[in-house]
Order: sequence, then C-alpha cells, then structure tokens
Amino acid sequence: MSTSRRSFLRCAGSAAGTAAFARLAGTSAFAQSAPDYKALVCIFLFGGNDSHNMVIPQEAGALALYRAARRGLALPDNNTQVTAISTRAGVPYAFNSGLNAIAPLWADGRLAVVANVGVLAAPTTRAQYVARSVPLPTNLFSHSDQVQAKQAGDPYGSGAGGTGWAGRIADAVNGLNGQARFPAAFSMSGNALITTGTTIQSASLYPGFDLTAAGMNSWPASSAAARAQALQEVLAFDNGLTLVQAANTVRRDALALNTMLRSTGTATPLATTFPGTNLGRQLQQVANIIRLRASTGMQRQVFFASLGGFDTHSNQSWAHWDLLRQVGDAMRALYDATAEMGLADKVTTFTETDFGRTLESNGSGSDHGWGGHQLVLGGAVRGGDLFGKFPDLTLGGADDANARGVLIPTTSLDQYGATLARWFGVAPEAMTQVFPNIGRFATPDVGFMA
Amino acid sequence: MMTIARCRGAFMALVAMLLFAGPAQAESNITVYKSGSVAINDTRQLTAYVPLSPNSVTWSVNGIAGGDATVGTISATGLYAAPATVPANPAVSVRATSTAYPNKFDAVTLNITQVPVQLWSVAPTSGPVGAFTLSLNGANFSAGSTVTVGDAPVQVTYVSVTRLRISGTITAAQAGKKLGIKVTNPGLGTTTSGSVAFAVTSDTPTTPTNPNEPTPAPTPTPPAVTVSLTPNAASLAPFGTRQFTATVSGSNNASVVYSVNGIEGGNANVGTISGSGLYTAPASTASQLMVTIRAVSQASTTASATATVTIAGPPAAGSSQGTANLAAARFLNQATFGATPASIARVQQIGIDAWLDEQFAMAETPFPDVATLNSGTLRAQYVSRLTTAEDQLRQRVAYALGQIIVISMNKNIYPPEIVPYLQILSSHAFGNYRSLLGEVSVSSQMGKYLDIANSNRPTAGRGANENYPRELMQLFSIGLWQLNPDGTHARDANQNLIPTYDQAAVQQVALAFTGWTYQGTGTNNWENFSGPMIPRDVNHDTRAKAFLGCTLPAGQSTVADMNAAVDCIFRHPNVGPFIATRLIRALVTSNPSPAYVQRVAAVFDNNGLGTRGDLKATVHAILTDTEARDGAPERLRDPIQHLAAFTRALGGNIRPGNQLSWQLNQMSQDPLAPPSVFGYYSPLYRIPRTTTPGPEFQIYSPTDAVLRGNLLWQAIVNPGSDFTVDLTPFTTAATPVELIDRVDQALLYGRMPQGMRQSIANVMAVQQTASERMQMALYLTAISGLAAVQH
Repeated sequence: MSTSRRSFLRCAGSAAGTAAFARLAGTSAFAQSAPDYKALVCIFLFGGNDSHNMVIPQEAGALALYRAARRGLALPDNNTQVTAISTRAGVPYAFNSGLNAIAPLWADGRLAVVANVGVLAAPTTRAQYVARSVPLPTNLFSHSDQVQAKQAGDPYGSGAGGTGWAGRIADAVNGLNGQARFPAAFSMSGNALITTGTTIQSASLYPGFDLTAAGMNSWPASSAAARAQALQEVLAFDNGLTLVQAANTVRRDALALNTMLRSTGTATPLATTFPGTNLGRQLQQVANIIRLRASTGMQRQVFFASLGGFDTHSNQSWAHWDLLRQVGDAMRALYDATAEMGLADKVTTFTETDFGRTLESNGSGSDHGWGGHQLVLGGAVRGGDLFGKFPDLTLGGADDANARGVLIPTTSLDQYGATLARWFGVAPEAMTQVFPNIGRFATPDVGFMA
Repeated sequence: MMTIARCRGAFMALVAMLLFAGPAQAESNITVYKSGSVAINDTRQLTAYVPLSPNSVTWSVNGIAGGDATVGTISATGLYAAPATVPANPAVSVRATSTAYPNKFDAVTLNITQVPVQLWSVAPTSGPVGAFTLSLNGANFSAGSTVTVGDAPVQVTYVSVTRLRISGTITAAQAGKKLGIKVTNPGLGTTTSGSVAFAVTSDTPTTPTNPNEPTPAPTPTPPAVTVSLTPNAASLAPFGTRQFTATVSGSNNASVVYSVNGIEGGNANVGTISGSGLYTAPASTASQLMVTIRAVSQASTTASATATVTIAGPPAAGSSQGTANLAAARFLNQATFGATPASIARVQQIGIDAWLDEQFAMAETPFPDVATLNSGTLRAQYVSRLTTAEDQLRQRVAYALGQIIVISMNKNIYPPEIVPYLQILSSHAFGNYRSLLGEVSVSSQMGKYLDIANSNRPTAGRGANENYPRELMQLFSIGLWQLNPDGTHARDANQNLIPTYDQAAVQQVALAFTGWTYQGTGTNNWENFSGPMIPRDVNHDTRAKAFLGCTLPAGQSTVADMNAAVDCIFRHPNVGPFIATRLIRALVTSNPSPAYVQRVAAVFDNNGLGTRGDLKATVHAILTDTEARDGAPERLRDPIQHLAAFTRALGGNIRPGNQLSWQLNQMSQDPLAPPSVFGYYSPLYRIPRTTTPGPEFQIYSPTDAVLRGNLLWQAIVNPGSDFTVDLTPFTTAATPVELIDRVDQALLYGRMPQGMRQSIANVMAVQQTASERMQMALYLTAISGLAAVQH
C-alpha cells in the first residue's frame, strides 16, 4: 500500500498524473484536502507600457542617468508628478502620480515592483546580444509577436503548442479543483492565449454578460417557465453519442454558470466601488466570480484583463499618466474588494505588457523596447520592495541592446511567472511543464511572493 | 504518453485504495437519483450521474436487465415504468451499471404502491359529541378502504370511488378537539391518504343562573357566510395558468384559503395556487387530469366554494417521419458547409461519386478584387461566401487546409496580405500538397506572417529566421513525432516517442530558405504583396545543408535550395498519416480509427497512379470511406460551421454585408484571424475530463455556447443584415406535430429522439402565438448537442 502511494505521488507530480488525478479527484477524500482559495489576475497593458516613467529612480546618480536618457520625457513635467517611495533597503524611487491610488499599498507592504522583466531565451548580456552568441527571442519589438511570446511564455512565440503560461499553471494545479465544473481560467477581454491551457479552456466572460441565453424571456411567466423546462430537457437527449453528450454538457454548465452569476446580482453588493472604466468593469467581474467560490467549489482560478493604448509613440506624457491612473484605480478597487472578502492574501494581481519602450525619446514619445518593470499587488506579495536588478539607464550602457535604451531584460518572463506559479501551488518538478526554459535561468523564484 | 502508461497502474491502485477504505458500496462512483415510491402503472425518470468515460450505463430491475412486467421495466434512458399490479415484494431495486466498468454501479429502491388513495374533504366538517355519520370526498376509494377518525377505526360504507360514508361515536373526552380522518387502501403496496380534520364542538355546560343578573339579550344570529368562486370550471394545458376569484359575502373578512385537491397551495403534481388565486397547472401529466380548487373563508371555515380544472394530457408529439434523407445529409455535412434541401435532392439523384465528380470539375468561385475590400468587408464576405458558393466541396477543403496552413489577419492585417493566400488554398484544394507547400513557402503573405521574407544568410550578429522552417515542419507537414502509417505514434525500443527533427534541422532548413525578399528592385525590399517573393542569391547561404536524412549540396541557388528543402520535407513518411488525420478531423470525425487514417494516408502516399500528395484523391478517399459513410462519425461544428449549416438547412445563408466578425471574435473564431499559427484550437485538444479528442471543443466553453446560441436565436427571429432564412416551411405547418416533423427533417434528418419531440411539443403547447411556437421548435433543436455536432 505504501508503495502504491509513493509511486502515485511521484507520478502526480507530472502533468499527466495531475490531469488524471483531476478527473477522479471528486471521488476521493482528496477533493476536500485543499481548504484555501487562490487566484492570479493578469492585467495586460497592450501596446507596450513605458515603465521607465512608471517607476523612476530617485537616487542622485541613477536620476541623472534617467534625465540624460529621457530628456523631454523625464518626469515630473507639466502633466505628471511623481510620488516618492523607497525600498526596504532605503533606496529611493518614485511612482508616476497616475498610480497614486495604489502607492499607499507600497508602504503597507502589499505592492512590489519587479524590475526590467522581459522575454529571454537564455540569460543575455549586451556582448552576447551583439554577437548573437546566445539564443534570442524571435521578432523582438514586434507587437503581435511579443504579445504572443508574453502570453505563450515562450521566446519563440508560437512554440508552446497554442497554450499560454497562465493556462498551463491552471492545468498544473487543477487537481485542487476536484470535480468542480466552473471554469478555472477566465478572460474578461476576449479570446486570450495566456489563459488557454492544455486541458483548461480559456472561458471568456465579458463584463456585464452573465450568460443569459436568448429566447427564454416570455409572457406570461408560465410560458417562460415552460421554455426553461424544455431547454433543460432538450439537453438530455444525445442518442448515445459521445460528442453530442459533451456538447450538451457544455450548455448545461452554461445554465448552471448563469444561475451562479445571476446570484451575485441579488447578493449583498460589495461595498467596494469600482471605477467605471473598462478595466474597472473587468476587475469588478473578476471580484464577482471570486465571490462565487463557495458555491462553485473552485480552489484555483486564473483571470485575464487588459487595457490598451500604451503604444505611446507620441504625446506620451498626459496619455501615459491617464492610462496608469486607470490601472492604479482599478487595481486598488480589486485589492479593496479582496480585502472586503477576507481574501487579500489569496489574490495576486500582476501586470504584463508587449515589451518595454526605448529610454530615448523620439520627440514626444518612445519606441518599441524590450525589458520593463512590472507591478505585483496582493496580501501575499512581499511588498514595499523592488525585486530583480534595476537596470543601468546609460544609453549604450551595459544593459542597453543598442544605443537607444532598449534594455536587455535582467529578469526573464519565465522567472517572473514561475515565482507566481510557485505561490499558486505549482510543484517545482512540474514547473518545466509551465515554463519549458526555466532551467536556463539561475533561479526559478525571484522572491517577490511570500 | 509514457508517463501516463507507467503511472496508470500505481494511480489506479491508489484510487482503489481510497475508495475501498469506505463502506463496501463505496466502490460505486455512479450515483442514481433517486429512491422513492411509484404507483402501479406510473413512471419515474431516473438519472445516473456517471463520472466515467465512456459514461454509458445499462439498467436492471431486481437484477433483470431492462426489468419485466412483474417488477416493472426500465428503458435505456432510465425511464422506469411500474408494473400493473403491486409485486409480492413491493420494494424493487433499480441498478445502473457502467458498460465500461462492470464493477461500477449504483442502485435505488423504488417502493411500488397501489394507486394512491386521496382524501380531499369531509362533510360536515364539525359536529358534537355522540354518534356521527360523515361523508368523505376523495379519489381512488375502494370497497376495501378503511378509515380512522382520531386514529380509531370506524364503520365504512363504500359509495363510489370518490365517496365513502363513515359512522361512529365521538366520546366526551374528544370534545373541543380536532380529529384527523385518514383513508387507507390496505393490502400489498398499501397507501394512506393525507389527513383531513373534523372539529368536535364543545359540550355547552349548563350555567347556574344568577337571579340578580338581568337575562342577557339574545345574541343576534350572524348572517350566514358564503363563498363563491369564479370561474367554476376551467381547462388548461400543462403549465397553463388561470386566475380564480373568490367572493365572500356575509362577513367583512374577505380572505380565503385556496387548496388544490385538499392540499393548501397545491403542489407540483396537482398544480399550485397562489394566495391570490392564480392557479398554475403542473408541468406535465401522464394523462388528462381533473383537480378541484377550493376556496375556504377565513371568517367561517365551513364556508367554501369549489371549481374544477381539467388539465390536458401531454400534447401529441407524433413520431419521426423517418431518416430517408439522413445518408445524403450526413455526407453533405462532411463535404459542404451544410446540407440544403436542394443538395440533398441532388445527391439522392446522382449518387455520391457523381456528386463528387461534379464538384471536382466545378469552376472555382473567384475572390473579389482586393482593391474593393477593407479588412472588415473581407472577413464578412469570406464568411458569406462559405455559405453561398456553388463549389462547396472546394470551399470546405480550402477551409480545412486553412486550419492546417495558417496565416492570420492579426499580423497580416490588410486584404493584400491575406487574399492571395486564400487564393492559393482554393486553387490547390484539389491539387497536389507538394505544389501547395511550394507556393505557400514563397508567397509574400507567408513571407510576412512567419518572417521568411528578408531572412538573409547569417552574418555577424544576425541569424537566419527559423520561424517558418519550424512551423512548416511542426504544423504544416510532419509534426513533432514520428508516426506509423496509421497515424499512431511510432516508438523506439524503450517505448519512447521518436522526434521527427531537432533544433539543428530547423537551423539547416532556415539556411536553405535564406535569400527571399518582397517584390522590388533591391535585395531586401520593403513589404510588397503584389506577387510572390523573389530570390536574391546574394543573400542566400550557399553552404551544404543536411536535415531529415536529406543533403543539399553546397553552391545551390536560392530557388534550388527552396525546392530541394520542400521536396525533402514533403517526402517524409509522416506527411501522409499527418495530413490524413488533420483532414479527416476537419471534414468527418474527431476520432478516426487508425485503420481509417491508414487507408486515407495510403491514398495520399500514392493515388493509384504513382503520384504522392494528390488532394483530390485524398478527399475522395476520406469522404467515401466506410467509416465516414457507415460508421458513427462525430465532430463538433465550429461557430462559423454551425451558423452556416443552420442557415443553409433553412434555405438561407450568411449575407455578404454581415456584421458577424465581432460576435465570431467573441466566440474565439475571429474570421481569418486565429490568435496564432496554431489556429483557433489545437488539433490535440481533448474534451474536458475525458480522453476523447474533440479539437473544436477548445473554443466551446460555456460562454462560447451561450453566445453561439444567442446568434442562432438572432438568425431565427431577427436575421436582419446578417442572415437570410426561409421560415415558410415552418410557418405553413398545419399542426404542432407537422412543425416538429419539419424541424426534425431540416436539422436532424429524422433523428430527433421521441422524448425531445415531446419536450418541444410541451413547450409549444403553452406559447401564445404561432411564431413563438415555431421559434421554440427551431431554437431548441438548433442549440441542442444533436445539431451542434456534425454526426
């Protein structure tokens, strides 16, 4: 018996074992063995966020380099102020004042910055990049390719079998969801690669859409009741065919999901007010789904939300402040909502973007770059600190891929994601299923999660 | 795969260990709903929850497969029918057993009863201590019925099946109490009615008279309270409603309490009535049902009025008109974007082989001039032409090829960057796969999409682009793993999968593909989609290359290396089974047998005349194979195919000016813009919680299903500028049964299950208008799994 258990546990560490376990978990005592709920929420900043103006060095030497490199783009300016923060070691930085809603969470130890994250095929120095002596990601600086690489978690963009890294995380931990039929991966902004797994579907759920089926409203009420009854009945007929039955099951799941989503409308509303922005509505929908965890029985869910407009080639100053304000306000509301639900340390929100932007100004904006800083927020985040290596901002310097301030990432996307995945419950031996290249980097955990 | 195989034993052992740890019956992980009582001649639908794959079960009663006349019968779908007489042991055990795992089962106990005896009222409802004679109203009384009053048996006289007379004596000790009256039909399967109260009035004690008190004035006799109820009779369909109004006179208290067959407020079996008198008939009855509605005054419980409601039995659902069109329709659903009444007739007239020849010979529907298109109109017109073009087989095959060899408008955003590629797929749909690969490889559209354009020979700091070489091998031709001729994975001596190529091979092919640029005068021209890419030997790597067992000698030109490399890949033995599997999945079934794949792959490898890669012969082999024609092929329609098949079945199409791109995008099928080179869904995707391949299920999440259903609803009720449909055959149906027949024939070719016909007949019976009845019949059928899945 003990042999069986040991060999099972060894196998369960593999993706195959985990998937098999997930299918049958509901029949065993294991289904109840995960009392905790956790969620990962990705906010993708489409267009390439100029994070050099999101997190600004304030230590004198670095600030001088920043001003020299950015010239007319340097903050503060007429539109945008900066809000001072400092790391646990006392190194001074500042946030773009667009982030003022979440800036206090830095001091509270809930908000962290991961510096100069980007897609890498292997650790890369300037010399190696110039000499092409290490493998490099394909189609750097191309929006479509880098959005795909960032979501696939693969430096070659499409080399990951049509799956995304958050979806693969959901695959790896889906055993914890037992037989619960609620979707484990949600996109709030349309079809998303990042939340597509090998076995996990990425379920789109648009803000305000509660899966109400057309054609079910009717007068009088008895007619509507008859329609609802007939719909339920019709989905029971499959002539014994496997795929027909599977298709009916999806639609029955939709009916159940609709009932659950509608129940959030009748429950006591969250006291937290979400901003009325597109991103605010997406994150409110996330909060509403998290609220359903007791009735859905879900233990692990990943979410995808997004905001576009970050391709600030021109007129960057005010536009970027306004975009960051939308991000900060919505992130703050989601954090407050999770705190209200008693889940502040169970939900981690993080940013992603196409790529960083050039340090050098093109006059009124910046161009496509590579590495960039990311925000991570939640009660389980080792907040109030900056992780990874803050890059050298010298144009043409040690971290510059050329002479325009295209910064070579010092933390890979794989490491950034794997740190989140480890907190989420992905076992170390399963990490290569999520990030096939993680072994090429010194550590799979850059330390920003508790 | 190996990990699963090695681990399965250990895993199953642990599962078994966990399961056996509980009570002995814990082995069963099937759950059957649910135990209870069933009257003779009555039925009960049982449901088996089966978290196994496959999830089919067999049913038995007391160990008898399907049951029998003594213990009752059970259908394949779990409908239990009680016997005509109560069996010697009224408790029968109904069991569902997994077909795949005979040790997985669950059973419920059904208690067979006589027809339940019902007691609705007693008259009078109160009386004094002493001898009484009462009249009982109810149902299913028999000569053997016994009655208790306050739990004491009394004398019974049988008057009729709805009337008993009882007599007895009430003791002084019972004065002022309410006594419950119950009727029992004794014997096997005994049943007892609910309790109706009889109030015993108090003895009036003789009060000593006080001569000093004035004699009280006599109390005026209160006016008699009466109740009237309107209407006093009604006929309703199942689920039908009727408002009843009770009027109380003789009291200021107008309140009444409504009951149905003596049950306050009613219930699901007899219908419900609200506190304000709104009666709702039960959802269904096995046969016509009469119920009594009673309104009792709250001012005087002896004052009441009744009304009789007749609830119609189930509406007629008819039965299937047969599957005469099924064979032709199934073929057309594989070969086109949906069978139409006209195409079914054509196939039946000339036969499958002649129909295929006709389609192979048919002129290609031309693409519109790209100058007339923008990105939006291109997508709209593309979806539309799938439903309207006469060369349907070519459209369907080109569409399938477009799911294998992918270019997406999420990168190639303008019409000139995509239309010539669509033209290549169309013109080669019945051509040769080698020619197709060759033309795609030098197209400027693929040159942009997968970066082969301006991929120069390596220089310091710049390597040859590997994007196209990788996808050409992984997705367009040979795949990652070596295959057997039947499409199953080949294995080495250690049972491990064998990779088809390694990174070195990708780099070698990348070198062979260097030197191509867009049209123009330079050697690395800016994007230009006016024609295919052109070779520039100055940028070509002329070293020797070796990959996949092929060798390209040094010094070859850009063109010669390209041709040799594509030739080498095309000759790889994987191509036949790889492409056969993909095309079978796209056209016929998600789960082809290895033998089917092998038969088709053999035709791909050699069309009988020694030619490899003949797509016409391959398509012919796929569509005429015995597994396609006589097997049980199933594949889920993608959103475009589902909408196309539905509108075409209704004699319509998707219109050129449609605005469906956004809605299709929401359903994860943005037309011509799959999210990556992997297309809209992975060919490897399996149905959640199963091991059954179902690629299209990857974009059929619950949200996708609702959005798709909502669009089908729109096509029926508000086709607008998006769809055309001809609803005449349905609006002209003379009866509900005829309407169901026409929907069944149009969408399911006579395969609608009888129970589904009845469900649709039931809902139609309570719709208010003819158009609502038609909408419900079409909609519920269109969104059912039977229509979502091409089968």
